[in-house]
Amino acid sequence: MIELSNNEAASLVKLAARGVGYPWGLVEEAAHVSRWLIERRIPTLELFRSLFTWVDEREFSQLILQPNDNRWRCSRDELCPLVCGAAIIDSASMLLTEDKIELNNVVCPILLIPFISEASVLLEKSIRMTWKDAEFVVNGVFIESINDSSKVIHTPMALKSPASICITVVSDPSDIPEVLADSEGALLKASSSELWPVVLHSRVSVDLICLESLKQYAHRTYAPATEQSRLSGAGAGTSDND
Amino acid sequence: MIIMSAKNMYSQQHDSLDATFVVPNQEGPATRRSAELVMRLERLGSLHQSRLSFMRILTRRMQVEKWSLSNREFKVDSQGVGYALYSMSGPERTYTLVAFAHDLPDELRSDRVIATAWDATFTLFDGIPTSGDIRRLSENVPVQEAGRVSGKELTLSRANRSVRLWKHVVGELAAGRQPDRELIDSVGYLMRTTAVYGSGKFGAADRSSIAARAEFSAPFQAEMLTVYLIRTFVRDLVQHMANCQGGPDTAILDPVIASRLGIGNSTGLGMAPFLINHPQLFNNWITVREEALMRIRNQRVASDTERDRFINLLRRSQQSFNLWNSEHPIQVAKVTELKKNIAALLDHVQSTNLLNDFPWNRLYLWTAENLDIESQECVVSLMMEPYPELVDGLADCMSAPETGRLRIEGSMPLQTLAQLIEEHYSWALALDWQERNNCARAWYVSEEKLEPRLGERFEEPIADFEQPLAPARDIALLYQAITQADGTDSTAELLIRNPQHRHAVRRVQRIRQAPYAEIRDNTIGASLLPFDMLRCKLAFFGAIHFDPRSDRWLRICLYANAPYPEELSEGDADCWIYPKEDSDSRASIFPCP
Repeated sequence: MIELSNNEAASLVKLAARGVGYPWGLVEEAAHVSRWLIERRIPTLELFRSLFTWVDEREFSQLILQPNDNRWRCSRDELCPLVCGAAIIDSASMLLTEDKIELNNVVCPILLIPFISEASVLLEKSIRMTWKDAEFVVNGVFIESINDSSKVIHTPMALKSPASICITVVSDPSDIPEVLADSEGALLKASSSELWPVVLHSRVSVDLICLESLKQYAHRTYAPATEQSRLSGAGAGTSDND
Repeated sequence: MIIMSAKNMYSQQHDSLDATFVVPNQEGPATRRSAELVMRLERLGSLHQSRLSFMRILTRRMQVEKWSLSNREFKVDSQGVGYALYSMSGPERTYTLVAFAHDLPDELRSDRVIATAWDATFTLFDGIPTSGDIRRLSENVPVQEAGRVSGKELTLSRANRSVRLWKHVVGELAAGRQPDRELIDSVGYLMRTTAVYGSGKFGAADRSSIAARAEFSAPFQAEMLTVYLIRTFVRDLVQHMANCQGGPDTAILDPVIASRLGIGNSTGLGMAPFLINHPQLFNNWITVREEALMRIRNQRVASDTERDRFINLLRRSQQSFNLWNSEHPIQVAKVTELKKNIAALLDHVQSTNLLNDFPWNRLYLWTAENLDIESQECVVSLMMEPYPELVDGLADCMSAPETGRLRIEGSMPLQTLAQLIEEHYSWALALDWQERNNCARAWYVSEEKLEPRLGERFEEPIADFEQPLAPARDIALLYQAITQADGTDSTAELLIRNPQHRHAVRRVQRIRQAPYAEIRDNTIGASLLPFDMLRCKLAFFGAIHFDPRSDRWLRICLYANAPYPEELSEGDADCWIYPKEDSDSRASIFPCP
């Protein structure tokens, strides 16, 4: 294992995202998602490694959404969480006018949570996101997992397997259990659910295999060295001594 | 809109500002200068240090807060190998420069970021390191990028000697003599740093983890403290090496000469993309500068003291410019013109009324009409000097959250987006992007050492690796997409179908509230001079004597004439950057407030 600063991790995710073909604007979203998840101690780099492995087998053009009312599709069977997340935050007000947004087969669905959180801040509403047996309510400050769904996040399946997602605005505030802070204020808990801490983390540990894999994707963004580049690209070529 | 309101100890000078572009002007004739005027590369590449430079913000704070050198350990042998610790303590915390000295063969000395060995390597430790920390750092800091530091370290840096000056100073002191003043002035430094990394690089602490500390509320303060302490270490190291060579008859370096020594810095292209990649931060730097200028131009009258301070520092600047050496033809011409203009300005201010009728506004308008851009920006900086109460608190408004990526406003109608582009990027729309000269260059990162480079798009295989550092072209492409987006109303709809424009949309939407966020020039054209971008950032650091070694590589000097830690309590911690008129005296002829 090696410990990275949050900045280092975000830079790596950014380059790796570019390396597998995301356009720059979505690369910026990937870095944002990375910082957000690391601050909450979610296994961020493993998630991105899974996502990028999946993306790498596709052309990016296949991941572009084809909106169809409140159900989004693309030309492939599975949806990219960064593409969907960006669309959700861009169209957040749609959550107020539609009953729900449904997304079929989103890969690494946990990567949607930072976008949902941002949408909840923007709309000043809590937002519920459900898939399979997991259910989360996000309100911009905390994430509440219903029925121990937080465990889902730490299982290998959650890192990879696609799931169909349903996103709705929580209309009745009484739907949300009372929130309590623990004695150290580090972890918020409600009666039946675990909430992620509001104390944000700035370091992340990553295993070397995952790190190497992300570095390989990042490496694709570097131009091969040439003599011209070496001599003129950086502007050197004169004496360094004085 | 308040863009930042960090608390610091300068409660009386704590400031905030309106980030909107044109501030209602009730007090005087001036508004902030327009982004169209200010954000051109020629002007940004002519900026000078000022009261708002990061070095001066730091030294002022250290003096007011009575920072002191609380610990010094110097364990370097007669070969110049070993380590040293310099701990600076402020009111709440202590920071320690951990310096490693090496015996570097001449043939390995390179300023390139791709070098692998240096004369000295450094880290700034958060607190006082234990022996375990020093052992860990001794295995990592000397190899720089090849090692790892931890969240306890704030920066990572290295420096090389100026071989010529180092040998001379050691030799003369060892022989019982003082070094030659002319040679000292012609080089300016004994060592130059070739990188000062911060903000989470190579495992160091993220800026976000220390940004709430008052002493780091202004940008780059950890990096500036690192370089400040490196200068002290270098002075001590050269004396130590002379002592080892000369024995008991070795001369002690004259404090007046030591004072004149700064720390050099070689800055390559790596710094240039920063201004494009940190648009909000860049906007804030320029905004405070323009706000300061506006406040001063709107002073109805000036006192004798304020006028005299300006004239005095103008004279001292003239001395500093006499020491500004460069062989680059563009810089030589600029410095020659600057010296001529400063002389003309001195004549002008002595024959004109600088006391009444909005004197600084009149002076500014005179410079805009009569002087070149380099001289105009020099005068802008100097006009801030008599007004610490109007200027210094703005230092609180210069930071920006490093991690903040602007959320795109998807509901923005495309018509509005197009209008924003027409309003702020008409200069980019006017360029013919099919013309090869307008996109002759491409920014990329080389595989070799992961450093940013600038290449020839049509001559090298680099286009596929291009970095997003061409806002003008990308926003022109976005504009084209908007005009062709039949049946699409909102930004969100455009981006769902065209995610490749997401980066450009973000830049355009930011410029509504951050008009100084964007360099308003083509950053990939054949005539681009990258050193303009380097100079702009380095001027905010507080650098002087910019010396381009090519169109994309600069040498500068930091901290020359600054008080050393033991002089902080008594010395001039503010206007030290202007050489004193009587350079043999350490007493300030014209003390600053």
